[in-house]
Amino acid sequence: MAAALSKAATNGRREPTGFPHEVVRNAWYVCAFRSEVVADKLLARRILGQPIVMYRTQSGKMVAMRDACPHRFMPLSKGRLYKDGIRCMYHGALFDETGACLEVPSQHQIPPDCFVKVYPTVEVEKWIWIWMGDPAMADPKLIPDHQYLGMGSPGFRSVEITPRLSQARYHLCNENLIDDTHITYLHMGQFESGNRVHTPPEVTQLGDWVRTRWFDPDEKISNYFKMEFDVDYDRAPRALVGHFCPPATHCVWIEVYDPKNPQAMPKTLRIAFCFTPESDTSTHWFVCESRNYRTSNPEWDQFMRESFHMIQSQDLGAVEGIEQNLRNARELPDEVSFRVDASAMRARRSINAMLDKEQGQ
Amino acid sequence: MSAIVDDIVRRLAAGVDGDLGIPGKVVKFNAGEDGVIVLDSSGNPAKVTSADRPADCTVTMAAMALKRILAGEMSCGAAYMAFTRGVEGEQALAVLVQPFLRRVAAAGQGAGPAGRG
Repeated sequence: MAAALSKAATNGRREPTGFPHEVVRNAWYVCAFRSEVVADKLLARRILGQPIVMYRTQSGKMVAMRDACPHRFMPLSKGRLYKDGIRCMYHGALFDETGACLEVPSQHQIPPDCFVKVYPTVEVEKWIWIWMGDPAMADPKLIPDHQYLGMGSPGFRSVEITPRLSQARYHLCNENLIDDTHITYLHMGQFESGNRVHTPPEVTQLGDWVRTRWFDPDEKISNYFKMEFDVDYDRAPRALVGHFCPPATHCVWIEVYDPKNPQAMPKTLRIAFCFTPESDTSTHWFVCESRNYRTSNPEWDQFMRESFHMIQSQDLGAVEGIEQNLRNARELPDEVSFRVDASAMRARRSINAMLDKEQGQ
Repeated sequence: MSAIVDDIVRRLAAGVDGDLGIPGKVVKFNAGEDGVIVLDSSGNPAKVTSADRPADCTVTMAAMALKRILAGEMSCGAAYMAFTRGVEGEQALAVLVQPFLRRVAAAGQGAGPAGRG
């Protein structure tokens, strides 16, 4: 049972209390931006420990298959596209978009086990989602609503942030984002007035989702936020709302209200994240930022990317440092929790419930 | 005016190609005791000077941060986020002037170490 095992030493390591020690497989994860998978190109990426190769057929259909020829496991991403399939450039085996082998050049007969596993994918707005678990359970309705994530919402412009890989397990990335009180210290002085850590958010469980909401009716607006949101107020009502859709999708809404007209639609930035495990201890960060202001100015896109990378580097430094401690420390005491960890604990329980369900318990 | 501001002004002034990205406006970087860097598009031609004057947007930021932008060591977004100590006036101008800063930075990198300021 996941919850019981998680406190015990796992693979010789001690894990924090209630820490999900496995990856949920029966779930949709983002595997790429749609813009990354283009005609005549093979894209290789490891997802949940599996090497995956992605490409488009001649008609533009997305294909994701195991990046290993069944003959000698040569990466197919080192092969060549041929019509709607891939030819392995080790011994020439040819596979179509369903993974079926069409040709083995050195013999007439195709061995019965000579096929490549193909994974279900769905393209929505900016992202491509992949299902690595039981394909019979791959219901596209389980993909989070993208308008909620900010993508495709009327009046919003979405900006892709270049994917990055962190050397930390995805639970650490999840908890970094769920716990927004870390903003005050880890990102000191950069986009918050410094009182975030003193005011715990409201935490609400909405089915599997965990929602945190923090609102300050008279927040000091940081210099960065003035530029980012294009406002000249020194103080304004500001909301920070986090949504966690287990096992790995988040959306953070930042809303800055006009203090002279607080009933008006706030300037809103919606930052969608999907933390897709690359392996047990590394995670792809897929991020898309959507805003409802300066929607026709591409200069803001660049500004948002650059400032996000700055913040992201600090977050990566934190989660990768924790991962190193979890992996390498000779001994660690039991983890201590603070009051602000309520939302992270709920998230752990949500993921553990998914793992228990997946394991039939 | 400090040597560092003098160097920044020299590099920015050499990079003015008529478009600072802020037509009709003035953006001032206030580097405190080091001095000011004024990007002035109010006249024709646009110019970059170290002569203080009222601006439509004033960004208070260490001169070292601007130097790092122009050296290609830090993006504008990251430098603004980490080093801005104050911003007054039309906030958007601080963002709109970034392409000009990036162009000057890129030109300096192409020029080799001697051009890195």
